[in-house]
Amino acid sequence: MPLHGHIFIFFQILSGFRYIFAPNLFLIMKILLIEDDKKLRETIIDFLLSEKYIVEYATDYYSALEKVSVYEYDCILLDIMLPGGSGLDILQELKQRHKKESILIISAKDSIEDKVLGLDLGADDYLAKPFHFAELNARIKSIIRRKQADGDTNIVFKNMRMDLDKRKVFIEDKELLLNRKEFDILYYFMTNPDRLIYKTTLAESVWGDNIDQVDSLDFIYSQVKNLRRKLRQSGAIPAIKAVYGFGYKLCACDDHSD
Amino acid sequence: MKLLQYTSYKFAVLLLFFIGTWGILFYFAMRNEIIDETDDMLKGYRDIFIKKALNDASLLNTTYETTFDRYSIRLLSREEASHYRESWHNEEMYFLEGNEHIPVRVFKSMFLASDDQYYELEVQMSTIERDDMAETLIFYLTGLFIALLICIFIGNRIILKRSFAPLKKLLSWLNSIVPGKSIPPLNNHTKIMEFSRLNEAALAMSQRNLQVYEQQKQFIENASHELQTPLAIALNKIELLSQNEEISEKQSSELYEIYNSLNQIVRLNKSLLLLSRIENGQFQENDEVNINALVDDTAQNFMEIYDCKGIKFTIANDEKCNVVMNKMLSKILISNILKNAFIHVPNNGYISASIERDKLVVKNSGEKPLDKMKIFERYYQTSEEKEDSTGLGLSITRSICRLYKFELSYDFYEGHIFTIKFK
Repeated sequence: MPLHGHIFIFFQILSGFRYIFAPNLFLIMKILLIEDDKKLRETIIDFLLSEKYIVEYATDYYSALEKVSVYEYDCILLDIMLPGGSGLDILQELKQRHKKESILIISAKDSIEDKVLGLDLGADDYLAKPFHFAELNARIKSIIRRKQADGDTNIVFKNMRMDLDKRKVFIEDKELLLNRKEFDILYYFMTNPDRLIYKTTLAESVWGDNIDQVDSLDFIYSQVKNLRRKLRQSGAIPAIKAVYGFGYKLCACDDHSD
Repeated sequence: MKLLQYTSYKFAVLLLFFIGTWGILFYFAMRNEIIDETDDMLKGYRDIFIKKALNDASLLNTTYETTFDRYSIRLLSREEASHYRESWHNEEMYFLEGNEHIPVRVFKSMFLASDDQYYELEVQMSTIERDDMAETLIFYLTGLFIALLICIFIGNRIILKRSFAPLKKLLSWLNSIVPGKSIPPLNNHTKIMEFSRLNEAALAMSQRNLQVYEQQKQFIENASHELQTPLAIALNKIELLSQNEEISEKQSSELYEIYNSLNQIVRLNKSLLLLSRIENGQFQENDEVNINALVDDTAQNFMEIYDCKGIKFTIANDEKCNVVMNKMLSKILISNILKNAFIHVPNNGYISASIERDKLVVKNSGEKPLDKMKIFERYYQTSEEKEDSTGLGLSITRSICRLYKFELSYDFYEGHIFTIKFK
């Protein structure tokens, strides 16, 4: 499907009922994806469109440079190794022109030097391939929020509000006490509402590389169980639903039983 | 066995055989020569005696006896004389003055005297003692043998030491080669053709080795890199598909399995990449890292994750331990060594970490000792191992320790004990 087709559908969806589940994305976010691998590019575009972003893409160094100098974007997903040049040069060019775009580097070169160099040059975040879409989504939202909300670090979903700075959660202005990990888990769900999140992905996102074994996921179960109980008791509309025993989904269903 | 000992031993065996054979031959040659000489003399005596007796018949009735030589005459009948044969034989004779038996050579011969009678003449002559001769011979030959042996040993030593100097140098050069590091120069000029060829071969082989090593490292790194994009596509496609609400629970659960397997590959790939990066020395920046805090933090994380195993964890921060190393590698190091303990400890077991000024000891309960030689190898797993562990954790630990020349060791005493000695 051509890009403008996606964008067309996007606007249709935007006007549709699903929009109410993502109130914090009231502004239409425009994203430029700079990635040379065709299949990966298409997959990422599919995902970004499903997340209701407007997406444009560039496939090599020169077209990317052209796009960033002509248009304005909210966020640029930047691959480092590109035909024709390095993504880091594009980054440098952007910073020299004092462009305000948030930049998220997505690179297959998961080396610490590149990460440090990229962040030094002014990138907002760095994500190594292969990544989970849920993770990508969380990072994009996080950097856009940092840039655009002008200090407002609250995420709101139905009657729940998360204050990221103070690491506090409120249900109808009443504080919900969560421990460190419960907060991280809830945050992950809040950035990916209404999406099926696999246990393994959740474990990896919240506990990082320390998770190495799929068979030790019982701890996820008990943590999520506690979190669900707290949400239920506090009268929150958002609830974490278990999906088929291997995943969870944050949704705004009133039905808390499952 | 040293070459010197070996060659000396072989020479000794050879000499023993040679000198032994030579001694036996020499003994028989000497003996025959002496008998021959004695016989000639006895014949001479006989001739002289017969000549005299033909002139002087009175001699026929006498017997002559001195200390060493004697003769006697016996009248022979016609009958006897007709089949008479001259004969030689050896005898022993008692020698009164010396109170000993001495060997004598006896020659019996017949002659026709002037009175037309046949007489037998028996002539005796003392000869050399065979035992004495053999003894003397053995004595001197043994002396010769020992003298030759000493000569060979000393000569051998000097020659070998001189001629093997290039070999010794080559060996120490070979020992100084570290896989993956550039090859040190080999200044080992020698006139000996074999050694100069050995030099060339060793040099060429080390260069080939280095090249293969580099290529392999590069290959692993490249392969891991190249795998990342297709893996990303596969993973992300599954993620997209998983959001599709039209698929059934069965399909969804299959997707989850595929997703986890792919994740496993991703982890394996990342570990391999990390390993080759460590071995390529791509972690240069160093900071001072506080091991106590790091162990504390990491262990806390693991306690949350492995909460359901009912593990008793204790930490003994006896001394403050600061190490200068790459920050990221320090995290990986501590995380891997602790993770290993948390994964392998049985349910309701215990883990203890104790930190000293330059040492970290992690101990976890366990039943059977592991193979010390293989435990740090890539993909070493015991039979009951969890199937989705990458098998690279301890290998990464070892690589990091090697990079910083930390001493990593494993021991078993009522549990598995891993020790890192920071230097």
